[in-house]
Amino acid sequence: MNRVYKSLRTANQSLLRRNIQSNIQRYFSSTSEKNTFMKTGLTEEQIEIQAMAADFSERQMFPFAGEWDENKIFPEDMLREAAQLGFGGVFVDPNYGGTGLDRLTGNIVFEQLAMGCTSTTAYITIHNMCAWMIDTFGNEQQKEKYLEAVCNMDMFASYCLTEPSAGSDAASLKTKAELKGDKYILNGEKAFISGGGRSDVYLIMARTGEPGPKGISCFVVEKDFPGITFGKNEYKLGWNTQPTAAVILDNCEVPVENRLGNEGDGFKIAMMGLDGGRLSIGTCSLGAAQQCFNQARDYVKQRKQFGQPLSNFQNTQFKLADMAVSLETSRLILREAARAMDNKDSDRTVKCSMAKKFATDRGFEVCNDSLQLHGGYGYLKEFPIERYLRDVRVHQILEGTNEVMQMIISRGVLAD
Amino acid sequence: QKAVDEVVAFSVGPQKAVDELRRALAKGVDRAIHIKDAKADYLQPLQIAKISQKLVEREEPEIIFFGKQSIDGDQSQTPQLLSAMTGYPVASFASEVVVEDENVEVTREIDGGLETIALGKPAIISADLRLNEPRFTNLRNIMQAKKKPIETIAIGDLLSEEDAKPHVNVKEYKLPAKRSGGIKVESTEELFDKLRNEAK
Repeated sequence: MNRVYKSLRTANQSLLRRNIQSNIQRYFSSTSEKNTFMKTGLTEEQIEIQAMAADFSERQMFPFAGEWDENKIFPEDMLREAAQLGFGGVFVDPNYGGTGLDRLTGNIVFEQLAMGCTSTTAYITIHNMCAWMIDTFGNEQQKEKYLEAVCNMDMFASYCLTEPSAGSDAASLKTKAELKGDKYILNGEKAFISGGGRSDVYLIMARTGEPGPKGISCFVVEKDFPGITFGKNEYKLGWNTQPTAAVILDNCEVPVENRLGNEGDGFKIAMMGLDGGRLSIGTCSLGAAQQCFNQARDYVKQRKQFGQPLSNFQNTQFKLADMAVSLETSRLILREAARAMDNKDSDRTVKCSMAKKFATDRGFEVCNDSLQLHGGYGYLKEFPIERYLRDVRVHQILEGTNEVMQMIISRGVLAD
Repeated sequence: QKAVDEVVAFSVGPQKAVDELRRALAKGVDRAIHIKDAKADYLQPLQIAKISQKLVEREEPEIIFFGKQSIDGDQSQTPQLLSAMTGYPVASFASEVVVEDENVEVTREIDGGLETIALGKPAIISADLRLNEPRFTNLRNIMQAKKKPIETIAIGDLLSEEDAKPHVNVKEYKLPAKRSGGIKVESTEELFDKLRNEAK
């Protein structure tokens, strides 16, 4: 008798699972229409762009993200298709193959893409950060040489600042660049580089002068330059759809014309790149959290316990309410920081830091809450929640830990 | 793909039609023509065909694309009417289109399967569901869409008052009668009688 009961229960469970899953898969973007602030303050054109990004994310990213994560696939075909549509150089001057969007519009795009696959979108934002750096600080020759290929994702780009012994204390980096004739010789090691090993160009911050930030310069290093090698692909909790590896420079020869900006500009260039990067990473957390929220919202209406759908219980309702507030406030602070960047406000760095810290912290919580609302099913890899949770966890750490964000914010707050 | 030099979209309707035209421009259409008419719901395929004919005379396109049938009237008449008026060949329910120098080869979905025919240009084609998967709009195109021209023509300029009068008067719309249960018959004669006289 028990054995029969058990097998019926298992059959019912997998039927329920399949039912829930197929219903959930269908609800990708429909509930985002109901989000209170999703379209607030956006122009007709921005709404059109948002819809297009949502469409691409729903059709070309969401259905495949699980497979990419499971098999550690870097989805180059999808990335190139995305680049064809203008996602490869979102902030870059259209004369060099970019799309020329402002920060607000670009981040609206990233938010939608992150709802599909957070890990790959995070890579796209890093690639875009590098493209922006070349566009903003490069000379004509450098832009002619690299920008169009980067915008098309014919060349993938990586940002190399962190070293094994220089993380939050980035300005203490040790990688050296010595000028010898018409070349710089680079020696050192960069750690945790997104795209490391696969990327075609690496923006490497190296020391050309005195200790501290003023002695650092920025170089565009191609994969095939002599003296550059890569460590193994790191085995990570999440972000499995992009390789992460050490970049090792052993008497790496970089032509003088590949220095971005002047000697000593490197740290400033790196930090300005990160302002935008932080905003984008925060936006990725928002996208992931929104997707998790949508899934949870739909799940609790279907799942019945004690004779009622979970959505009838006040505990569930209040949890969803708090999650919704987290999402909308994250959205508002991120978009305000984006506007501050577009207006070149003097406090934009502080705003970006605030937005990054807030959105990444809240984003993780919302993903976690969504997992809890799914009960046991949330823990299964058949449901996408755990993947979004794993992917967003690192957003609280990279591009400046949230503790470094507190440093920046307190400095801004305490300044005279 | 450079099969054609220019793509023009046109739409007849109130101001709302402009949104759709902008969307078409964002997808890569070069310019758009809006035939403005505040009400538009009285328009029937014959009028649309007549307006189309005027446009065709003005623009001299090589190929004219329509959807196979509208979502409101569901009639699938406009392309065929235009063909009769202009004398151009028409291929409806196209699921594949290949543009060549002299001809356009169209594969049509018909009741029996697929039919492939070649049409001389200018040609009229109506698109079926399986013609293609709508492409993703390029971000750059969305932004350029607002710079592309939309020409507005008042409907009176293309359609005389006489022509604008509806030819078909819709008397009633109703749902089909609900399917009633079957009946049991007593004899073969009764069955035969019912088959012959009732079950038409």
